[in-house]
Amino acid sequence: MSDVQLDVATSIGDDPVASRTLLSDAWYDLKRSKVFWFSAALLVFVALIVLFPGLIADKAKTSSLTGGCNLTNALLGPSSQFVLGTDQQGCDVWALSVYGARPSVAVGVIAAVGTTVIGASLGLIAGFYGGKTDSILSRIFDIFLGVPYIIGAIVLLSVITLPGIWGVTLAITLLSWPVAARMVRAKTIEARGQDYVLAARALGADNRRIMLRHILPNAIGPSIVVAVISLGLFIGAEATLSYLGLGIRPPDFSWGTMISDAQNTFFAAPWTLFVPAGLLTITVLAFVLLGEAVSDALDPKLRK
Amino acid sequence: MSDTLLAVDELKVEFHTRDGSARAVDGVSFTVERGETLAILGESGSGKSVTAQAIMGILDTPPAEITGGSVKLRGRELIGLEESEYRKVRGKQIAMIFQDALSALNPVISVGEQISEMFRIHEGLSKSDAKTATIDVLKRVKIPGADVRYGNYPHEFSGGMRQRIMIAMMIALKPAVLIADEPTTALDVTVQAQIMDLLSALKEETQMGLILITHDLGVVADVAQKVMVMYSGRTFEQGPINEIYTHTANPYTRGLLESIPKLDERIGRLPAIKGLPPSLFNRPKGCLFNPRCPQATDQCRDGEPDLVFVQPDHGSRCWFAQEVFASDIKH
Amino acid sequence: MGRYVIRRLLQMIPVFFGTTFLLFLLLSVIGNPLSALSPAQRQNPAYIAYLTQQFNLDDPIIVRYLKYIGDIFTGNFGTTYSGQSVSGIVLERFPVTATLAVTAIIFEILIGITVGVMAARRRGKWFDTASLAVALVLIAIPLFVLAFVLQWLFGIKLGWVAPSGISDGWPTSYLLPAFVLASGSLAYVLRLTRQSLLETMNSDFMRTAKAKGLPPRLILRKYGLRNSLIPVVTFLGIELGTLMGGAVITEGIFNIPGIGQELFSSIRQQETVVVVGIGTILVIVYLLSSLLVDVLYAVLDPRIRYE
Repeated sequence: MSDVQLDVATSIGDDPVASRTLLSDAWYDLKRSKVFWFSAALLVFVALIVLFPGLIADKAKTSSLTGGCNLTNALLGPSSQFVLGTDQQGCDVWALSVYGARPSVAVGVIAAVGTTVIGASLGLIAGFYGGKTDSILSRIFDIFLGVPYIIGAIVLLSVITLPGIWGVTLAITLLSWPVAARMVRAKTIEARGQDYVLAARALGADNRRIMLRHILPNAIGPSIVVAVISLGLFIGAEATLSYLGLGIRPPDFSWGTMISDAQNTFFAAPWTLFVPAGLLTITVLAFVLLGEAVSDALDPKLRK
Repeated sequence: MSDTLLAVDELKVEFHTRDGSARAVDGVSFTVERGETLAILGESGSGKSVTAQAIMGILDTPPAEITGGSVKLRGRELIGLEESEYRKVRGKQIAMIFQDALSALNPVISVGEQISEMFRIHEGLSKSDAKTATIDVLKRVKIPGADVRYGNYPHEFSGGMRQRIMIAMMIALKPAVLIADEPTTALDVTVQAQIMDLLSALKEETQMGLILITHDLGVVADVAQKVMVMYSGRTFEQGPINEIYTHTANPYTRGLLESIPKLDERIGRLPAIKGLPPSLFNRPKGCLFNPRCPQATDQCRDGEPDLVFVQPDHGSRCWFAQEVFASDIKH
Repeated sequence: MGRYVIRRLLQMIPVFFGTTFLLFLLLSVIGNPLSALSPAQRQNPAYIAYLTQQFNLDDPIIVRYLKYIGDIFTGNFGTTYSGQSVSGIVLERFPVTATLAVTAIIFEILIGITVGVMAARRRGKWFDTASLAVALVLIAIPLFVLAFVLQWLFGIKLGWVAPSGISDGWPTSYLLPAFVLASGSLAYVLRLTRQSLLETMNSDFMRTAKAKGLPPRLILRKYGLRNSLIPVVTFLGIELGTLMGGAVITEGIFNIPGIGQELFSSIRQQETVVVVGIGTILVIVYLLSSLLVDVLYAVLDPRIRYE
């Protein structure tokens, strides 16, 4: 029989049998997602102000030490000289916000990477080896998860002082890694029972190889989503802790400290609160949206 | 009173999706008489489950749509019936059991309660009367310790037991017709035989009509009287089962029969029908089977054959039905 | 079922000791209560002596741990700078925080579950997309930002409620703070309900229910909700514990005289003893509520009773 007829018989669905992996499918869906592009645009903006703050704001205007802030300029509204107004010390709110992005985003990134690396490794080990190792590790996850993160962070930060962003980062990482661990553990257990793992073993693969090459790629998908969303939420957490006075401390500043300072000047000068609060919200939202878009792209069943 | 419990005539079901409309069931007709077992045979995607669900009225519409035909249960037309009326028919006069009992049963409600529901909703029995009736039904399907296991949950039973429970649930009200959609596919071979025996016995007791949907020809050989072979939404052959197994009039059916390995034959390679069933959106011109048929000719590619009756009760949809029928040597 | 509860209780014991030990590590090994003192406190030898005594800083680690556990079991969580007992303060302020937390949970149930169910039934339509979008925004906005914005909007600009305090009693004074407190979780409940219901709707047993000829309302209740609400209810169970954490910010900003506000001001005043004391109490409460939730989960889902 002719090839044409075989084509008709063997093609299932619309596309010819092209090579489609999960990642390429995901990327395809992602490219067509408006949410993805929107959040990506926001994040490019955020990356810009984090990496190259000097391009769009003058560092000098952030500190009275360098003579950039002048008390005579305190609490001025938006003007051509101070694009978004000034705070109670006469510092330029826009400059403060731009430079304040750095510590906030840095905490988020480091904490997200930290929790994912630690969590995924331990979760993988626990799920893969099972037995006693799993029992002990699971217990450890439970122990850490027994502490609601704000309370734990508050207690921890009340008794340690680390320079700059490290206190906050440590607190957040220490209290959040078990979430990733639990999830990776669950996925690992699921993957461990699959036939392709048995096949790999039958072919002589050792444990390490199976873990890294077979199980990890399958367990990692949702971890990435959680890491991205966590990044956003960690930025929010840093801001919260800094607002409470436990995170970044003077003379360093972040969005959280700015909002804390703005409490007193809020009624007279609302921009002192709204600008950092707005930037903070937008940044967190961007990460959360990105995480959503990636999650939908990796598992479209539930959205449709 | 007529012996025909179920009469399906030219049933057509379409699925409307983003990629177009697919004719999942394209003009299927059959009857089921009292005490008769009909086997509906076909590969995945042949439309057999959709046919069953359309008869039950449980298709999701949209995206499905019954675009034609009639389904008469004891002479009463079901297509177009008001949902509130249809609900009274389902479970009581016509019932259906599914392949995977574990996912088909509600995991958080006891099996006893799930069966009692039938009595309480359809017949208005009180809680205690329903419980008594339920225990009776559980005994009918041979669940040991029925009165104790009434309160157990589906996951606490073995696969075979769960299937019995589902059967119990659906025959509780002694329906006229029971449709079994791949009831044994998920079970071990020995359990398969038990379930098949159970279904036969229940059928004999009440003389209900039984429709067995399967892709496994062997499973139904002993149990069914009639068989209907479906392919891509169409009936390709139908008639008495022994007749068809020994003297098929259709190349597709022959292909299916030849692909069954036999204990008493040595062969080099297992014969299989080459290719795959066509996409429902991209059906071949002419006979639907022609791309895979070893005997396809130009005539097959040009036009689709109608059902040809090589015997009064044996029909085959093939241009060469008579030839195939005549040439077929016994299996 | 009874065996399951006992087993969970036994499992909870090592976790209890483990978590309190973790706190102990944070306090004594990684951290040092004397490190975060304010300048004024540093000048005060009496205060330093008090801290040293309260945290047993002169004792070897083992002894410190034992005394720490002993303190927990006797309910000794120290005293404030002015001499009030921490456990006394917590007990006194507990009803206010509990009222706030319960009101927040009511919001989560009323709005979160209802909208979640509605969104699931209108999947893909504008209502669904809109509610998902709003939920995402609520999750993303940090609690304190939302608190400020809503306090300003409804308390000052529009003047609908008093911007702070509980002088108007329940529910008026609690509405706004409870909503703020619930906001993130409410959004999560919404999404969880929606997702869970969608998954359940696609389950085989829904089709079986229809094949049985059951009426649609019964199907929704006994097959749909009964299954899909399990994860939601267990989440809400944990909520009582987690809300204690969020209450710190909310009570602080809205000036609600609960446990959270005490914690809030203690942080500001660097009253380490109080912070640690309240923190420890809240952790214990959280652990207990986790245990309760596990039991609740087993009641709802018979499949896990025999794990």
